[in-house]
Amino acid sequence: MTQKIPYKYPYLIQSQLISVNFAIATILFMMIAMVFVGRWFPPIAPNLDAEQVALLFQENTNNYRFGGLLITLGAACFWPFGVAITEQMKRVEGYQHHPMATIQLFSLNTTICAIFVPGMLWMAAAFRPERMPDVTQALNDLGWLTFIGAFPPAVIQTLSIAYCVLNQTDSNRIFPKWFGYFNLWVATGFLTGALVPFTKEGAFAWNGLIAFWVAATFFFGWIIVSWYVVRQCIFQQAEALGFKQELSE
Amino acid sequence: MNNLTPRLSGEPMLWILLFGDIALYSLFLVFFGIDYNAQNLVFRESQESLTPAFGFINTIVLLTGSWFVVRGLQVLREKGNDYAARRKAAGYVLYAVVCGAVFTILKVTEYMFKVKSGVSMTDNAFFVYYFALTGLHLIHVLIGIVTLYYMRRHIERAITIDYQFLESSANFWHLVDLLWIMLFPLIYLV
Repeated sequence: MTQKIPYKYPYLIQSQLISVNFAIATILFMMIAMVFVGRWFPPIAPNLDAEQVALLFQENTNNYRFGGLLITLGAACFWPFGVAITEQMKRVEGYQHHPMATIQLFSLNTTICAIFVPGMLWMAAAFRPERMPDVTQALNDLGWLTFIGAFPPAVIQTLSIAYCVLNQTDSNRIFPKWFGYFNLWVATGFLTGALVPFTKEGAFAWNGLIAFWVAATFFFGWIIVSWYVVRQCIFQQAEALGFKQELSE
Repeated sequence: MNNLTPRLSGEPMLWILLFGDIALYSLFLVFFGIDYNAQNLVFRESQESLTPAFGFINTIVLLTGSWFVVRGLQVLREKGNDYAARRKAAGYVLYAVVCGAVFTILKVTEYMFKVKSGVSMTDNAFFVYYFALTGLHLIHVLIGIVTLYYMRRHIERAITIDYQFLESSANFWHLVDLLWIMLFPLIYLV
Protein backbone atom coordinates (compact mmCIF):
# COMPACT_ATOMS: atom_id res chain seq x y z
CA MET A 1 0.00 0.00 0.00
CA THR A 2 1.45 3.34 -0.94
CA GLN A 3 1.18 5.95 1.69
CA LYS A 4 -0.28 9.21 0.55
CA ILE A 5 2.31 11.93 0.91
CA PRO A 6 0.83 15.05 2.44
CA TYR A 7 1.38 17.99 0.14
CA LYS A 8 1.42 20.42 2.97
CA TYR A 9 3.43 20.46 6.18
CA PRO A 10 1.53 20.65 9.45
CA TYR A 11 1.26 23.99 11.23
CA LEU A 12 4.17 23.18 13.56
CA ILE A 13 6.61 22.76 10.66
CA GLN A 14 5.14 25.36 8.37
CA SER A 15 5.27 28.11 11.00
CA GLN A 16 8.86 27.28 11.87
CA LEU A 17 9.89 27.34 8.20
CA ILE A 18 8.29 30.74 7.76
CA SER A 19 10.10 32.01 10.86
CA VAL A 20 13.50 30.74 9.81
CA ASN A 21 13.15 32.15 6.29
CA PHE A 22 12.81 35.63 7.76
CA ALA A 23 16.62 35.48 7.97
CA ILE A 24 16.69 36.00 4.21
CA ALA A 25 14.42 39.02 4.57
CA THR A 26 16.81 40.45 7.18
CA ILE A 27 19.76 40.07 4.85
CA LEU A 28 17.88 41.52 1.87
CA PHE A 29 16.57 44.56 3.76
CA MET A 30 19.94 45.30 5.35
CA MET A 31 21.88 44.77 2.12
CA ILE A 32 19.53 46.95 0.10
CA ALA A 33 19.66 49.63 2.78
CA MET A 34 23.42 49.55 3.15
CA VAL A 35 24.49 49.08 -0.46
CA PHE A 36 21.90 50.80 -2.63
CA VAL A 37 19.72 53.16 -0.63
CA GLY A 38 21.83 54.58 2.19
CA ARG A 39 25.09 53.78 0.37
CA TRP A 40 26.70 53.02 3.73
CA PHE A 41 28.88 50.28 2.30
CA PRO A 42 31.53 51.19 3.39
CA PRO A 43 30.15 53.30 6.25
CA ILE A 44 30.34 57.07 6.66
CA ALA A 45 33.96 57.58 7.71
CA PRO A 46 34.38 58.25 11.45
CA ASN A 47 37.14 60.81 10.87
CA LEU A 48 34.91 63.29 9.01
CA ASP A 49 34.27 66.56 10.84
CA ALA A 50 30.80 67.78 11.79
CA GLU A 51 30.35 69.94 8.69
CA GLN A 52 31.23 67.10 6.34
CA VAL A 53 28.83 64.73 8.09
CA ALA A 54 26.07 67.36 8.05
CA LEU A 55 26.70 67.95 4.34
CA LEU A 56 26.32 64.22 3.63
CA PHE A 57 23.01 64.20 5.45
CA GLN A 58 21.87 67.32 3.59
CA GLU A 59 22.76 65.88 0.21
CA ASN A 60 21.35 62.39 0.78
CA THR A 61 18.47 63.28 3.06
CA ASN A 62 15.82 61.00 1.63
CA ASN A 63 18.27 58.20 0.87
CA TYR A 64 19.33 58.18 4.49
CA ARG A 65 15.75 58.36 5.77
CA PHE A 66 14.71 55.45 3.57
CA GLY A 67 17.93 53.55 4.36
CA GLY A 68 17.21 53.91 8.07
CA LEU A 69 13.68 52.69 7.53
CA LEU A 70 14.90 49.59 5.69
CA ILE A 71 17.41 48.87 8.45
CA THR A 72 14.63 48.90 11.04
CA LEU A 73 12.58 46.55 8.83
CA GLY A 74 15.56 44.22 8.51
CA ALA A 75 16.02 44.31 12.28
CA ALA A 76 12.37 43.42 12.85
CA CYS A 77 12.69 40.41 10.53
CA PHE A 78 15.45 39.11 12.79
CA TRP A 79 12.96 38.30 15.55
CA PRO A 80 11.16 35.42 13.81
CA PHE A 81 14.52 33.98 12.80
CA GLY A 82 15.69 34.10 16.41
CA VAL A 83 12.55 32.32 17.54
CA ALA A 84 13.16 29.58 14.96
CA ILE A 85 16.64 28.99 16.42
CA THR A 86 15.23 28.91 19.95
CA GLU A 87 12.45 26.46 18.99
CA GLN A 88 15.02 24.02 17.66
CA MET A 89 17.23 24.52 20.74
CA LYS A 90 14.23 23.59 22.88
CA ARG A 91 14.11 20.24 21.08
CA VAL A 92 17.59 19.65 22.51
CA GLU A 93 17.02 21.09 25.95
CA GLY A 94 13.44 20.00 26.58
CA TYR A 95 10.31 22.09 26.81
CA GLN A 96 10.24 22.74 30.53
CA HIS A 97 13.73 23.98 31.28
CA HIS A 98 15.57 25.50 28.39
CA PRO A 99 17.99 28.11 29.75
CA MET A 100 20.21 28.30 26.66
CA ALA A 101 17.24 28.67 24.33
CA THR A 102 15.99 31.53 26.50
CA ILE A 103 19.41 33.17 26.73
CA GLN A 104 19.66 32.94 22.95
CA LEU A 105 16.34 34.70 22.50
CA PHE A 106 17.00 37.41 25.08
CA SER A 107 20.47 38.28 23.85
CA LEU A 108 19.16 38.20 20.29
CA ASN A 109 16.64 40.86 21.35
CA THR A 110 19.51 43.15 22.24
CA THR A 111 21.42 42.27 19.08
CA ILE A 112 18.31 43.40 17.21
CA CYS A 113 18.27 46.65 19.19
CA ALA A 114 21.83 47.22 17.97
CA ILE A 115 20.41 47.15 14.43
CA PHE A 116 17.01 48.73 15.05
CA VAL A 117 18.20 51.70 17.10
CA PRO A 118 20.87 52.83 14.60
CA GLY A 119 18.21 52.76 11.87
CA MET A 120 16.07 55.09 13.99
CA LEU A 121 19.06 57.30 14.80
CA TRP A 122 19.99 57.74 11.14
CA MET A 123 16.39 58.56 10.38
CA ALA A 124 16.46 61.12 13.19
CA ALA A 125 19.73 62.56 11.90
CA ALA A 126 18.25 62.88 8.41
CA PHE A 127 14.98 64.28 9.76
CA ARG A 128 16.27 67.87 10.15
CA PRO A 129 19.49 67.93 8.12
CA GLU A 130 19.65 71.76 8.27
CA ARG A 131 20.19 71.79 12.06
CA MET A 132 23.52 72.47 13.80
CA PRO A 133 26.16 70.12 12.26
CA ASP A 134 27.37 69.00 15.70
CA VAL A 135 24.00 67.49 16.50
CA THR A 136 23.85 65.60 13.21
CA GLN A 137 27.35 64.32 13.83
CA ALA A 138 26.46 63.17 17.34
CA LEU A 139 23.41 61.28 16.07
CA ASN A 140 25.47 59.74 13.28
CA ASP A 141 28.20 58.72 15.77
CA LEU A 142 25.65 57.22 18.09
CA GLY A 143 24.19 55.21 15.23
CA TRP A 144 27.48 53.77 14.02
CA LEU A 145 28.89 53.13 17.48
CA THR A 146 25.79 51.13 18.31
CA PHE A 147 25.66 49.38 14.94
CA ILE A 148 29.26 48.13 14.99
CA GLY A 149 30.22 48.44 18.64
CA ALA A 150 27.27 46.77 20.40
CA PHE A 151 28.75 43.30 20.01
CA PRO A 152 28.52 41.80 23.56
CA PRO A 153 24.94 40.48 23.26
CA ALA A 154 25.85 38.76 19.98
CA VAL A 155 28.77 37.07 21.76
CA ILE A 156 26.51 35.78 24.52
CA GLN A 157 24.01 34.67 21.89
CA THR A 158 26.51 32.62 19.89
CA LEU A 159 28.03 31.20 23.08
CA SER A 160 24.60 30.04 24.29
CA ILE A 161 23.98 28.30 20.97
CA ALA A 162 27.44 26.72 21.13
CA TYR A 163 26.86 25.46 24.67
CA CYS A 164 23.55 23.91 23.69
CA VAL A 165 24.91 22.30 20.53
CA LEU A 166 28.07 20.93 22.14
CA ASN A 167 26.18 19.38 25.04
CA GLN A 168 23.78 17.34 22.92
CA THR A 169 23.72 13.65 23.77
CA ASP A 170 23.70 11.01 21.08
CA SER A 171 20.10 10.19 21.86
CA ASN A 172 19.07 13.79 21.41
CA ARG A 173 21.17 15.11 18.57
CA ILE A 174 19.41 17.86 16.64
CA PHE A 175 22.17 20.20 15.47
CA PRO A 176 25.35 19.02 13.72
CA LYS A 177 28.35 19.15 16.03
CA TRP A 178 30.37 21.49 13.81
CA PHE A 179 27.68 24.13 14.26
CA GLY A 180 28.67 24.45 17.92
CA TYR A 181 32.33 25.06 17.16
CA PHE A 182 31.35 27.36 14.32
CA ASN A 183 29.42 29.48 16.83
CA LEU A 184 32.43 29.59 19.16
CA TRP A 185 34.54 30.83 16.27
CA VAL A 186 31.96 33.46 15.33
CA ALA A 187 31.93 34.61 18.95
CA THR A 188 35.67 35.32 18.75
CA GLY A 189 35.11 37.06 15.41
CA PHE A 190 32.47 39.37 16.90
CA LEU A 191 35.03 40.65 19.42
CA THR A 192 36.63 42.65 16.62
CA GLY A 193 33.94 45.30 16.98
CA ALA A 194 35.18 46.10 20.48
CA LEU A 195 37.54 48.86 19.49
CA VAL A 196 35.30 51.24 17.56
CA PRO A 197 35.06 53.82 20.37
CA PHE A 198 38.84 54.13 20.52
CA THR A 199 39.88 54.84 16.99
CA LYS A 200 38.69 56.96 14.09
CA GLU A 201 40.86 55.52 11.35
CA GLY A 202 42.60 52.31 10.45
CA ALA A 203 41.53 48.70 10.54
CA PHE A 204 39.73 48.87 13.89
CA ALA A 205 37.67 51.99 13.14
CA TRP A 206 33.98 51.44 12.37
CA ASN A 207 34.67 51.58 8.64
CA GLY A 208 37.91 49.62 8.92
CA LEU A 209 38.97 46.33 7.42
CA ILE A 210 38.63 44.48 10.70
CA ALA A 211 35.83 46.19 12.63
CA PHE A 212 33.60 46.58 9.59
CA TRP A 213 34.52 44.15 6.82
CA VAL A 214 35.54 41.19 8.93
CA ALA A 215 32.71 41.74 11.41
CA ALA A 216 30.14 42.20 8.62
CA THR A 217 31.33 38.99 6.95
CA PHE A 218 31.01 37.17 10.25
CA PHE A 219 27.56 38.59 10.90
CA PHE A 220 26.03 37.86 7.51
CA GLY A 221 27.93 34.59 7.23
CA TRP A 222 26.56 33.56 10.62
CA ILE A 223 23.00 34.38 9.54
CA ILE A 224 23.30 32.34 6.33
CA VAL A 225 24.93 29.33 7.99
CA SER A 226 22.46 29.36 10.90
CA TRP A 227 19.55 29.74 8.49
CA TYR A 228 20.72 26.67 6.59
CA VAL A 229 21.37 24.58 9.70
CA VAL A 230 18.11 25.46 11.44
CA ARG A 231 16.17 24.77 8.22
CA GLN A 232 17.75 21.31 8.03
CA CYS A 233 16.77 20.74 11.66
CA ILE A 234 13.17 21.65 10.87
CA PHE A 235 13.10 19.30 7.86
CA GLN A 236 14.52 16.59 10.08
CA GLN A 237 11.78 17.28 12.63
CA ALA A 238 9.17 17.03 9.86
CA GLU A 239 10.63 13.72 8.80
CA ALA A 240 10.56 12.45 12.35
CA LEU A 241 6.87 13.35 12.45
CA GLY A 242 6.32 11.34 9.28
CA PHE A 243 6.33 14.07 6.69
CA LYS A 244 8.79 13.51 3.90
CA GLN A 245 10.18 16.51 2.10
CA GLU A 246 8.84 16.30 -1.42
CA LEU A 247 10.36 18.45 -4.09
CA SER A 248 7.80 17.67 -6.76
CA GLU A 249 4.16 18.17 -5.88
CA MET B 1 42.85 2.11 20.70
CA ASN B 2 44.31 1.55 17.26
CA ASN B 3 46.96 4.20 16.88
CA LEU B 4 47.72 3.33 13.29
CA THR B 5 44.57 4.71 11.71
CA PRO B 6 45.08 8.34 10.79
CA ARG B 7 42.86 10.63 12.81
CA LEU B 8 42.62 14.21 13.94
CA SER B 9 43.70 14.81 17.49
CA GLY B 10 40.84 15.51 19.87
CA GLU B 11 37.33 16.29 18.73
CA PRO B 12 37.57 16.60 14.90
CA MET B 13 35.03 19.42 14.70
CA LEU B 14 37.05 21.52 17.14
CA TRP B 15 39.43 22.09 14.25
CA ILE B 16 36.81 24.42 12.75
CA LEU B 17 37.49 26.72 15.68
CA LEU B 18 41.25 26.13 15.65
CA PHE B 19 41.77 26.66 11.92
CA GLY B 20 39.17 29.42 11.94
CA ASP B 21 41.09 31.35 14.58
CA ILE B 22 44.39 30.79 12.83
CA ALA B 23 42.85 32.08 9.59
CA LEU B 24 41.36 35.11 11.38
CA TYR B 25 44.66 36.06 13.03
CA SER B 26 46.51 35.55 9.75
CA LEU B 27 44.08 38.00 8.19
CA PHE B 28 44.66 40.50 11.03
CA LEU B 29 48.40 40.22 10.48
CA VAL B 30 48.00 40.75 6.74
CA PHE B 31 46.12 43.98 7.51
CA PHE B 32 48.86 44.85 9.99
CA GLY B 33 51.42 44.31 7.24
CA ILE B 34 49.52 46.50 4.81
CA ASP B 35 49.33 49.33 7.34
CA TYR B 36 52.97 48.79 8.26
CA ASN B 37 53.97 49.43 4.67
CA ALA B 38 51.66 52.41 4.36
CA GLN B 39 52.94 54.13 7.52
CA ASN B 40 56.40 52.67 7.66
CA LEU B 41 58.03 55.35 9.79
CA VAL B 42 55.32 55.53 12.46
CA PHE B 43 55.18 51.75 12.78
CA ARG B 44 58.94 51.39 12.94
CA GLU B 45 59.35 54.05 15.61
CA SER B 46 56.48 52.73 17.70
CA GLN B 47 57.73 49.19 17.37
CA GLU B 48 61.15 50.21 18.64
CA SER B 49 59.55 51.67 21.78
CA LEU B 50 58.25 48.22 22.77
CA THR B 51 60.19 45.96 25.09
CA PRO B 52 60.78 42.71 23.19
CA ALA B 53 62.07 41.10 26.39
CA PHE B 54 58.49 40.92 27.70
CA GLY B 55 57.33 39.26 24.52
CA PHE B 56 60.29 36.92 24.46
CA ILE B 57 59.85 35.77 28.06
CA ASN B 58 56.15 35.29 27.40
CA THR B 59 56.94 33.13 24.38
CA ILE B 60 59.09 30.90 26.57
CA VAL B 61 56.40 30.83 29.26
CA LEU B 62 53.71 29.72 26.80
CA LEU B 63 55.93 27.12 25.15
CA THR B 64 56.73 25.71 28.59
CA GLY B 65 53.00 25.63 29.34
CA SER B 66 52.35 23.68 26.16
CA TRP B 67 55.12 21.27 27.06
CA PHE B 68 53.57 20.66 30.51
CA VAL B 69 50.24 19.82 28.93
CA VAL B 70 51.89 17.39 26.52
CA ARG B 71 53.77 15.77 29.41
CA GLY B 72 50.54 15.45 31.39
CA LEU B 73 48.81 13.59 28.56
CA GLN B 74 51.88 11.41 28.02
CA VAL B 75 51.93 10.36 31.67
CA LEU B 76 48.25 9.45 31.50
CA ARG B 77 48.69 7.44 28.33
CA GLU B 78 51.77 5.56 29.52
CA LYS B 79 50.79 4.83 33.08
CA GLY B 80 47.07 4.54 32.56
CA ASN B 81 44.47 5.18 35.13
CA ASP B 82 46.13 4.60 38.46
CA TYR B 83 46.01 7.16 41.20
CA ALA B 84 49.68 8.14 41.09
CA ALA B 85 49.66 8.72 37.33
CA ARG B 86 46.58 10.87 37.63
CA ARG B 87 48.12 12.91 40.42
CA LYS B 88 51.20 13.45 38.31
CA ALA B 89 49.24 14.40 35.20
CA ALA B 90 47.04 16.78 37.17
CA GLY B 91 50.23 18.33 38.52
CA TYR B 92 51.53 18.96 35.02
CA VAL B 93 48.26 20.62 34.03
CA LEU B 94 48.51 22.80 37.12
CA TYR B 95 52.00 23.91 36.03
CA ALA B 96 50.47 24.86 32.68
CA VAL B 97 47.86 26.95 34.52
CA VAL B 98 50.71 28.66 36.38
CA CYS B 99 52.35 29.41 33.01
CA GLY B 100 49.12 30.94 31.80
CA ALA B 101 48.88 33.05 34.95
CA VAL B 102 52.50 34.21 34.61
CA PHE B 103 51.80 35.17 31.00
CA THR B 104 48.77 37.18 32.06
CA ILE B 105 50.63 38.96 34.85
CA LEU B 106 53.55 39.82 32.56
CA LYS B 107 51.19 41.05 29.86
CA VAL B 108 49.26 43.28 32.26
CA THR B 109 52.53 44.59 33.70
CA GLU B 110 53.70 45.38 30.19
CA TYR B 111 50.46 47.23 29.45
CA MET B 112 50.86 49.19 32.70
CA PHE B 113 54.43 50.15 31.85
CA LYS B 114 53.30 51.28 28.41
CA VAL B 115 50.46 53.36 29.79
CA LYS B 116 52.74 54.83 32.51
CA SER B 117 55.24 55.89 29.86
CA GLY B 118 52.51 57.98 28.29
CA VAL B 119 51.57 55.67 25.44
CA SER B 120 47.91 55.06 24.83
CA MET B 121 46.01 52.92 22.41
CA THR B 122 44.80 55.88 20.42
CA ASP B 123 48.26 57.38 19.80
CA ASN B 124 48.69 55.90 16.34
CA ALA B 125 47.72 52.98 14.14
CA PHE B 126 50.52 50.80 15.46
CA PHE B 127 49.39 50.99 19.06
CA VAL B 128 45.81 50.20 18.09
CA TYR B 129 47.10 46.97 16.56
CA TYR B 130 49.44 46.34 19.46
CA PHE B 131 46.77 46.65 22.15
CA ALA B 132 43.96 45.11 20.10
CA LEU B 133 45.76 42.01 18.84
CA THR B 134 47.60 41.23 22.08
CA GLY B 135 44.39 42.01 24.00
CA LEU B 136 42.33 39.61 21.90
CA HIS B 137 45.05 37.04 22.38
CA LEU B 138 44.96 37.64 26.13
CA ILE B 139 41.24 36.77 26.09
CA HIS B 140 42.25 33.48 24.45
CA VAL B 141 44.78 32.89 27.23
CA LEU B 142 42.13 33.47 29.90
CA ILE B 143 39.68 31.10 28.19
CA GLY B 144 42.56 28.61 27.88
CA ILE B 145 43.21 28.82 31.62
CA VAL B 146 39.56 28.02 32.32
CA THR B 147 39.79 25.06 29.92
CA LEU B 148 42.92 23.84 31.70
CA TYR B 149 41.11 24.05 35.02
CA TYR B 150 38.36 21.77 33.71
CA MET B 151 41.00 19.49 32.26
CA ARG B 152 42.66 19.16 35.63
CA ARG B 153 39.35 18.52 37.33
CA HIS B 154 38.55 15.82 34.79
CA ILE B 155 41.91 14.12 35.34
CA GLU B 156 41.44 14.20 39.09
CA ARG B 157 37.83 13.15 39.34
CA ALA B 158 36.50 11.42 36.21
CA ILE B 159 35.77 7.72 36.57
CA THR B 160 36.95 6.93 33.04
CA ILE B 161 39.29 9.32 31.33
CA ASP B 162 37.84 10.93 28.20
CA TYR B 163 40.94 11.31 26.05
CA GLN B 164 39.08 13.14 23.34
CA PHE B 165 38.09 15.87 25.79
CA LEU B 166 41.62 16.12 27.16
CA GLU B 167 43.15 16.25 23.68
CA SER B 168 40.67 18.89 22.59
CA SER B 169 41.47 21.09 25.59
CA ALA B 170 45.17 20.56 25.04
CA ASN B 171 44.74 21.52 21.38
CA PHE B 172 43.08 24.76 22.40
CA TRP B 173 45.99 25.52 24.69
CA HIS B 174 48.40 24.83 21.82
CA LEU B 175 46.33 27.21 19.67
CA VAL B 176 46.85 29.96 22.25
CA ASP B 177 50.54 29.23 22.05
CA LEU B 178 50.57 29.18 18.26
CA LEU B 179 48.70 32.49 17.95
CA TRP B 180 51.24 34.11 20.23
CA ILE B 181 54.09 32.73 18.12
CA MET B 182 52.42 34.33 15.11
CA LEU B 183 51.91 37.68 16.87
CA PHE B 184 55.18 38.04 18.75
CA PRO B 185 57.73 38.33 15.91
CA LEU B 186 55.51 40.49 13.72
CA ILE B 187 54.45 42.95 16.40
CA TYR B 188 57.63 43.12 18.48
CA LEU B 189 60.46 42.39 16.10
CA VAL B 190 60.24 42.28 12.29
